[in-house]
Amino acid sequence: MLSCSGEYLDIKGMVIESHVVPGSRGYGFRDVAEVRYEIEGKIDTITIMHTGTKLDTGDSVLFSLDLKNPKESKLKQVVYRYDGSEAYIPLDTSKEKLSQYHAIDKQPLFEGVTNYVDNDSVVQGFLKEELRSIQKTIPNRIGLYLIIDKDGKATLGKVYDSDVATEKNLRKVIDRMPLFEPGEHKGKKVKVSYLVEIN
Amino acid sequence: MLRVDPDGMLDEYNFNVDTGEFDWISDKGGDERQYVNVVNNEGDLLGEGSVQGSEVYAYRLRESVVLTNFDAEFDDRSYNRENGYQFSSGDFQLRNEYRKTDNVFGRFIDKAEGAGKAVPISLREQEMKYGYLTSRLMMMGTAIESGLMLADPLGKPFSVGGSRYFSRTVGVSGSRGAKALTNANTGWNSFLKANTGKYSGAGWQRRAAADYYKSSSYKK
Repeated sequence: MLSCSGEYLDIKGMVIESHVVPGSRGYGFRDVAEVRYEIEGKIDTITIMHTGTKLDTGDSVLFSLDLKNPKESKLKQVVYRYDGSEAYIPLDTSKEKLSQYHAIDKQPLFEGVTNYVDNDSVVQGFLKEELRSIQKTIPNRIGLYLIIDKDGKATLGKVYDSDVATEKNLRKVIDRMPLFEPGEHKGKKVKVSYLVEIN
Repeated sequence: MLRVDPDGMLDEYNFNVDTGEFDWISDKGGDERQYVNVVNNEGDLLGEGSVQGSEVYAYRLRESVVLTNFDAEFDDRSYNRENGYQFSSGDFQLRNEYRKTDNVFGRFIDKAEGAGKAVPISLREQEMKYGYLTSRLMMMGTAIESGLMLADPLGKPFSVGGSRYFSRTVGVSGSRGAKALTNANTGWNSFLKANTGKYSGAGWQRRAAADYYKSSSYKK
């Protein structure tokens, strides 16, 4: 996630180390964290000197990178805790309109499916079989969001409880997935977010 | 709003930010993970997220919805009913950190929320709301008041120089935890927004609150 405002850049990163150290001139304590992030395709790390909240290795964070003086970069918020105990969902109304699968009049239908309630088992079966043809083992339970556009083409959204290799293979599988019959709401075709589970 | 998944059947929910309703929609995720889609009345998806475990709580903040798998004891309907200040996610995180410790800061936050007078907690939010100098003067004032509160064996707050945080102590009102989010705090804020500029001067909150309780924005 990148967004720029003047001399600051908002970037998403992951905490790789965190410490509590004495404050300036020995007063109080402060939380310090080392954060790994990607910028323009390169991996870099930064030390945030005063996070203001306790962070743990593996926490996903959003921070404001001070382009002129990186040492002054500040933590904006925790996005997701490493242990899955907290998740922050920004309410961004400026992004492209997307409909929720269960909140529309007519759900998209996968190839061969006539009733949307059958989507779950058929889509899961398809993805599982295709994934197994690429890799021998797959994680016990993967949660993934399919983004199905107005033409019925599916792409991969957020993925939970997976690994890098599986996610990469999932993209390949979904890329060659047959088209869905597009979803509709109030008589118009809509782009839909659909949660699928593979277990 | 709390949803518990004791039998692995309650797993995907839609949280409507316009109504505060929290609906179960499918049984994905078992009892290991709870998925929440944030939607509006139009069925638009505003975001999605998930937490691990068999419980999920959703709280409405200023620009986000936060999901937790623990009860944060946060009432997003009433914590800012007197002043309209909405927590940022940074405020909420720090609030939870402070409340874990049984110290003056945690008690101060409880009292402020109980009185419906939530205040910026993270330094960044303080500066944005009050400006650099004022925020530091306020911090100094709060530190003095906190020290006095610590010195009081009964833990009762003193009123110092017309203190804005400790002058009134109101017991916890409204609901917390499981019932905390059924209304998602939209009524009071939408009322204030609809009446921008109408109230000003000393006691404006009281006058606005009186009108609010008579208005259509207020739902019992």
